[in-house]
Amino acid sequence: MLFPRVGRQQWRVRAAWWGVVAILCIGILLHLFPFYFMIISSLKSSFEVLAFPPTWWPEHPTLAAWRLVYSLVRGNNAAAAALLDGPLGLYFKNSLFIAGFTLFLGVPITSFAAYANSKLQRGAIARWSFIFFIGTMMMPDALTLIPNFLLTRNWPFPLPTPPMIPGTSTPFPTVRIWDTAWAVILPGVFSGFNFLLFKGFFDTIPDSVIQAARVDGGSEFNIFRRIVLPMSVPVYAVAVWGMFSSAWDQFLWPLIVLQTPSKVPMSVEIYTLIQKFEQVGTTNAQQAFAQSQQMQQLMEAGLSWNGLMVLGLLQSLPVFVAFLVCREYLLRGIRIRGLK
Amino acid sequence: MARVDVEDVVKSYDTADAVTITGRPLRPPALNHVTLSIEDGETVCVVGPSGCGKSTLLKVVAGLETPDSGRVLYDGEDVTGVRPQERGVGMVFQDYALYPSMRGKSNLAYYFQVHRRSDEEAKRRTREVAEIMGVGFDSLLGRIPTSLSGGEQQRVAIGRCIVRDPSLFLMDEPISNLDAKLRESTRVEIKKLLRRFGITTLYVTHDQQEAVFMGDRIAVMRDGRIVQVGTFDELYYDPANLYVARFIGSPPMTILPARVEARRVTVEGQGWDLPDDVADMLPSGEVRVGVRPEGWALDSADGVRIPLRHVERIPTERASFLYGELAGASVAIAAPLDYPETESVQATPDWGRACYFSAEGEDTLRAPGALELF
Amino acid sequence: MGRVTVENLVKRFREKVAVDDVSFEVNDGEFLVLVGPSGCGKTTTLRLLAGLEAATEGEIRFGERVVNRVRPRDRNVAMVFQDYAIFPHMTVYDNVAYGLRSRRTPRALTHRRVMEATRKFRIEHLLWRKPRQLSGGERQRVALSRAMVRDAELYLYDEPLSNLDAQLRHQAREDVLALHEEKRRPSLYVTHDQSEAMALGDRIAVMRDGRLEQIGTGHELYERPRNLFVAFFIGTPSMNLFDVELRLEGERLVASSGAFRLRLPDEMRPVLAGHVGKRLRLGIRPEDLHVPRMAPFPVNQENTLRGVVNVIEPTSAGSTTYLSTLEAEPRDFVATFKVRMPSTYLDKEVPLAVNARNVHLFDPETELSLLHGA
Repeated sequence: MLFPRVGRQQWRVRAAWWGVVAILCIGILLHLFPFYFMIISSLKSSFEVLAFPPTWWPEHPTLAAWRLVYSLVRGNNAAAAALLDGPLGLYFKNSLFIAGFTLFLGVPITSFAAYANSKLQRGAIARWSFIFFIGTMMMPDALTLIPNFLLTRNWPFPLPTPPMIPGTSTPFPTVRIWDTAWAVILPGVFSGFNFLLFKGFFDTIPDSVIQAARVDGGSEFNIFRRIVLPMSVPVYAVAVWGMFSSAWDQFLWPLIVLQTPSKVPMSVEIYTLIQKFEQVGTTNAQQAFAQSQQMQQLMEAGLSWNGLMVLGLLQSLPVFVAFLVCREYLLRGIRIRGLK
Repeated sequence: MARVDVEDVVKSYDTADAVTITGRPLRPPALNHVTLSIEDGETVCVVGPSGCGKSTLLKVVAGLETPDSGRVLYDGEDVTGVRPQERGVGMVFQDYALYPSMRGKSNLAYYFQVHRRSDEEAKRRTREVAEIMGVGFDSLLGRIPTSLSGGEQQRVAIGRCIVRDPSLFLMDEPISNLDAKLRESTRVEIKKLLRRFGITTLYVTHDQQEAVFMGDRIAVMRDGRIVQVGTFDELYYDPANLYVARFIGSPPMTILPARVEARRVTVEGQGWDLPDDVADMLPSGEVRVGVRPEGWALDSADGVRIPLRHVERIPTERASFLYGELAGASVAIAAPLDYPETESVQATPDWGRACYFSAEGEDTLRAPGALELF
Repeated sequence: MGRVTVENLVKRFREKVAVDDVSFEVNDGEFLVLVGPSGCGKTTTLRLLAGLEAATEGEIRFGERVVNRVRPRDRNVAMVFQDYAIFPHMTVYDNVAYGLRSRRTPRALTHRRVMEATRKFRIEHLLWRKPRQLSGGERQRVALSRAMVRDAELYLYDEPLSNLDAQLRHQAREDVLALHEEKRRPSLYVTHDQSEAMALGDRIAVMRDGRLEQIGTGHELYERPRNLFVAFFIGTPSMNLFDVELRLEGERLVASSGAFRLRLPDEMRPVLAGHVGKRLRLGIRPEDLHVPRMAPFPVNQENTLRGVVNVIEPTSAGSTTYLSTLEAEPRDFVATFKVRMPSTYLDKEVPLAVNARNVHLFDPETELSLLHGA
């Protein structure tokens, strides 16, 4: 309650009220502006995109960029051949595979861990395992990048080469998941943030409900499935959305561990495209002439940052769809279902 | 049916629930060598202030907490290590603890589902419970717990408890979240249920009046120990120590500092002769005298003048209570409802019916014992 | 300065009417208690007076000043909340001083007031503690101290005792009264517990479903309830209610049901003349049922009610007995005695004498009292 319910007729309260409304409106506009700019840029021609100062409304709206991306998706044409190593759909599938399995493994693992920590462990054990799990959040990504990378090469050894079995000259057998989708999936399975989210939620479930179920004779797993899960739908929705969007948008890690071009997800592939676009976009017309004929055609078809904007929009589409699916719970906030 | 014995149970909790890295030193044990037996078919009420360990005791009996040492026996059989799932007890919680995502009916049926009993049995038992619980219970079963009022939720919770035909009832302050008026009718309902089934019951509450109403015997707890177990009369007229004397009875007993010398008692300079049976048992020196509100003779000739703070008239009890101060202690005296409004009152404690405690410590020196009417 | 007046107050939340046309006044120095079951609108009324909610219709006046549109901070009201509403990050001292500091009171005065208030409520040794280090009773006294330092025009209490253990409530009641004695300003106290209302209130207002049912002293409400709800709500145990038919047998006015025939006093005839032959609700207070041998009036067949004893609750002054009638579908009723009922009477049939002068009669349709109409 920022404002009293009574006394809103007084001029000072009113002035403050409108002041807050104005500040909030500015905030909303600032947030929406990038989206607006992405959309109008995707409708501009490639020359207009590079114009300075930028135009606020496309002078000659064109769907050229959208058509180009559409042809990329279709594949089997000159533009696709020039820019991509495979059909765009393949990268989309890679992304889906990675995000899907991250969710499929990550949501149960994280929520089980949080439930166990919240309701089954107690005392010092609960405290230390909590600190351990939360500790994973404190490590900066940059710090774990190298060890993680080495682990994908020679699991379970975070070493460039596996050590020798003592007394022999054969190395320990290791598992190599490097350059497979699993190298992206497995490190993302446990998320400290989602653990905290789940744990915070499970802590609000009264112990008495779980004790009542125990007295009724339910096994611990049955209690989780029949009693706890149905009241936790909102928090699962939030976690699924968060996990999906981070798995979908992750970039640096797949770029490092995936070498084969046909295995990379959308986010990495779009980055590769950006680099190619940049070459085209930043060069002037003469240098472009010097480049291949196909590139020239792309340029004329209206390709530069506008095409990038289209891809950017496409990339964020699944996250937006996931948001729509979980919307009800994200907007309503996390509350125990069925409890006041 | 079962008899329950709690033998010398100790239970400590590990520090606070808050997350600290180092942890703080252990608190005193929640249960400190507690021994209690509940006879078959008997209702024992455990009463004490919050934090005295009474709920922990209940959880140890239910198996929800494992004691650090000591044993819990059902019918002479050691169940200390048996999980709550296998104990076959019924428990009612203060916050009702209904499964929020299930309708009333499924709440009752859960027990049968996890025990892989047939649907027919669950339905039959539910019908029987609905009959026992009386009017309107059926309509509660079709509803989601949140749409029920507190009283209705508690009725469903009690139904869930009796549907399995338990050998032992455990009740953790079942009515303290209800409205005062609803509390009154619900406690009668529970009491009738208990009498009807004759099931062994352990009932936890912080309200001594509720304990008196519910329990065949009452166990008073403090700081993880049971101070005294007995019927209301034993606790009221024969308190084991000052703590029990003050805890039982409402308004609480007045505790006056006094001095006993040569078979006379002196309070703030005014002296009275002690009855012989009392004087025989008291040593000379400082004592504390406990006087019940009804244990005063008002407007007596040899009375001490007590300045009054206020007079509470309670027509529902056909009584008024006079609150004042004497010798630095607050005094509560029962009076007739139409007692005139005064600034002070002249009153004498009934020395023969008073309790005497040592000045240091809390030991009872003499208690009046049960009232003899004839 | 002085009285607080509420006129035709209405509060609607969307479709729900929380407070429905309520009018009353709190005189200068009066302690008025609003009592009712949960959800009856009593807390909303309190919040309207505090300015935490805006009234939909009606007028609230402090003295002559209409305050409907005045912000809470400008109303000069002190409030004690159920959960005490103590700021957890501030020390006790800062909590108590907050109300004065936020009104820019000189530092020396603030200090003096805080010290006085905390000494009065016995928390002066806790001044530098944080709230989480305090017990429930101590927190409650911090909340009272916070109200004590203020010089408010109106003091509001929102069930301040309901989170306390039963044993602490007696002392806490005295503390609330001590605050009121000191300030002597209009005070409004909300509770769901009628016995608390009886103990504290100069006058009591009973609310149900947003409407004010009756307002008066505890004695008035108890002796002359205007309708069935007030009759049932005031008094513990509640009034016993029976469905009866009013008949005129010769000269004698008789209320009869399946369980008993009760002759009503002749004085009631003029009032009840128009209701002969109708079905009515008969109300008998538990203390108007007597053991025949001890009844203060002649006992005969025409004022005897028979019942089976279900439960006997010992009380300090006697016993409360729960019985049921001997009909095919037994009805429960309650009797309170000044003597201890021996438990040998359990499940036995006993006759009880009804004091017919004190019965109440209600129209079952309108629920209005026929004997104590407006």
